Amino acid sequence: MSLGFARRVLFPSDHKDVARQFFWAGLGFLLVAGCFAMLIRWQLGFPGQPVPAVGKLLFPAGRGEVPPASYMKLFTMHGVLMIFFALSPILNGALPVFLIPLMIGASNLAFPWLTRISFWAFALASVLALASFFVPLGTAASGWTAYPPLSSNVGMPGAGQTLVLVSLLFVGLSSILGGVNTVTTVIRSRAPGMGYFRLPLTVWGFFLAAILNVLFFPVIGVAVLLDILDRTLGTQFFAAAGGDPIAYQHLFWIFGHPEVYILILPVWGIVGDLLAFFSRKPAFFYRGTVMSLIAITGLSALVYGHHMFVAGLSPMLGKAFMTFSLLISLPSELLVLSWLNTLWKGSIRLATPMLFALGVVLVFAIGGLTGIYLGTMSVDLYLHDSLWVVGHFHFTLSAASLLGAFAGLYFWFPKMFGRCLDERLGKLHFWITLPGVILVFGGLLLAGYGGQQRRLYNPFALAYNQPLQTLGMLTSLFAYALFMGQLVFVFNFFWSLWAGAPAADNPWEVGTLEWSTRSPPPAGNFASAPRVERGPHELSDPEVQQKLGRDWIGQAESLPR
Amino acid sequence: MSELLPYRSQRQLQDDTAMLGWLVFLASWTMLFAAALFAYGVLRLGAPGAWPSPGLGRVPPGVPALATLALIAAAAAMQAGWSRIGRGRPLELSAALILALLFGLLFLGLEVVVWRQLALAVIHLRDSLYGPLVYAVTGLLALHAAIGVAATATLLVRSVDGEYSAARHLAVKLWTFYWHFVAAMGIVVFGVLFWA
Repeated sequence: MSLGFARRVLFPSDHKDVARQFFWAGLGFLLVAGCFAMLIRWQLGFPGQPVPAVGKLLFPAGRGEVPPASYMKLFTMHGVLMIFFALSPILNGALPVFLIPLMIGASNLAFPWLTRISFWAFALASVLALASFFVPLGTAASGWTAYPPLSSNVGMPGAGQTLVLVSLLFVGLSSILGGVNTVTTVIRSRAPGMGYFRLPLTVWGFFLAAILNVLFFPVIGVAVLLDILDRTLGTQFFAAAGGDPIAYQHLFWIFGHPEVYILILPVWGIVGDLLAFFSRKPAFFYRGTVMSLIAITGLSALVYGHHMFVAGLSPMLGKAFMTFSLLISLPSELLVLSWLNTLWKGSIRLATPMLFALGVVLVFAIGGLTGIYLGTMSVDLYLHDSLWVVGHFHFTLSAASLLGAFAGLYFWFPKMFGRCLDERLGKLHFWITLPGVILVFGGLLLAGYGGQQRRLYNPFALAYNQPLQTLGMLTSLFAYALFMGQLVFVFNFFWSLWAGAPAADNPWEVGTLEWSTRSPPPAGNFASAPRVERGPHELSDPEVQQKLGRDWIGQAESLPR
Repeated sequence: MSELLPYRSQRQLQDDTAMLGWLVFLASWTMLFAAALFAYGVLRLGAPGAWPSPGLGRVPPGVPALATLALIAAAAAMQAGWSRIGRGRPLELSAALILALLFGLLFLGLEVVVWRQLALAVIHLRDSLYGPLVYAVTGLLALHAAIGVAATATLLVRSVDGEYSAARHLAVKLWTFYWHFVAAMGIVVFGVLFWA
């Protein structure tokens, strides 16, 4: 290892190097948290039976079955790692850090040093979260929401829970600093001619998610900080006697609801762009789409109470939160209708990124529609704390966000690494993943509608859940198939990285700025600063077709007179 | 068709970018205080009976009011110093920085008095919500004032070294806004914790 290599790893000045660091970290945690999900599904499909192959290794105390305490740790850390350590670094770290300067025609982010610090804070958080597994009593077991008293010294004694809470503080710091960088970059570093309404929708998604990051991560910071004080100094802010555990829930969801939009806004942006690119048409009602995204961003800050309908909230307050929550479906509907109109009569090319984008439209529709039931107080009283909730947020967060991340990955992989992913393996991956997520998370919805509560160690010990046991087993089997499908991606990824065909500069034949430079782009991104002349998806323009003989034109490309 | 914009040098453009990033960051940090005060409000509304619990004294608003005035004075001194260096008067900047430093230290000293009053009025951390909450929120504020004091001291050393001029004083501008932020937070904290 030469000194230059070490410097490039520790002090990368190029945004693309930091982006790759976020990317590897996120993919690593995705795999770990995915394995946790498999263990959870084992317990829900075959409760109390020894885990095949790895059981003895992981749980040496018994016959290799998942013990109750470990089960709680598994579902807790599955959520924590997926949200804060896998999806967040990919959708709010790797992709925006890599893409924003390239898509707006800048040579770097506004504050390159801040990009580095943002990753270091994330790396520190990762170390703390991983360390929590190896302390006495083990890692956090409070559920990903870390509600007190579950996350108090009474609910979960030991250093592990504290370490996880501290790691969330550093994740927050990383997100805030990254968000400051993103917001400033989009406002200040756009190339000449790149007006706000010429930005690719992807950039809009990153930009709005960054605003939510900046404004709402401090709120969970306060919640977690007070919880840490309760655990370490013996204060009683969230103690059931003397304090108020509900105060934590308020703070958590003031952050928690925008957080789900932090994870889905980048995906909406990516999908908006990809549907236009692969339909060879401009995005339908671009301005309306942008306005919808802005409206949803604003509304997302006003709806957190719908997570607390059964927490003793005043019904009048609940009604207000319900109204705002259901109001979100209006701009969301506009978004989906714009996507469908973009597809209408397009010359659709079903490449892998497009398949994943179409998949997002489908699973997001399911996730959104099942959310309406939970946003309505009267229905939520019945469905609250059931697997319906788990199914709903897995459709939006896991299925839609993950499929969106894959769409982005398949689309920008050539630009990121200079090589092409194998299309056949990519399509195989898609055709396993899409039915997989629908069957697995659909199974959760059905079980929840049947009355099965979430987080139970052995739900089938309760008589009223016993009719759902076959469903649980089937869901688990589908989950294993889904997991196997992801191994296709892992293989494709590494194989293409070493042996994939070298990527052309513009393999998808689209006009946004990142495709006008080399694959992968050199340091500084562009040979000369681009001068932007048009919007992001001016495809199939007859004048361009006549003069250039192709159906696309670069955003910074002049049309010959 | 491009509009005519007044000429800004590359350095001025970079300064503007730094300033914008700083404002976005301070907006984020405002939410930190907002969340802390929201927690105070929810816990206070949820607390049964009188606030603070019967038998516990409340910190009288006198000393906290003085402390808040000290914060405002520190921010005003920074503002004066920034406007003076903008007109090319480094000596007056140094004088203003000394004033800001003193007011900042005065604030920290008064906070210590507040905490002493609190220690006398509240028996123990575990015995009530009021005491720990006031410690936590004022502690958060004092931490930010202390960071401001440390930064102002650094600015003062650099100012005496003659590092700042009418054309180059970005750090002075950024920390002036920081002090405005701390003063604004101080006013709100005073209103919520000691007045309401």
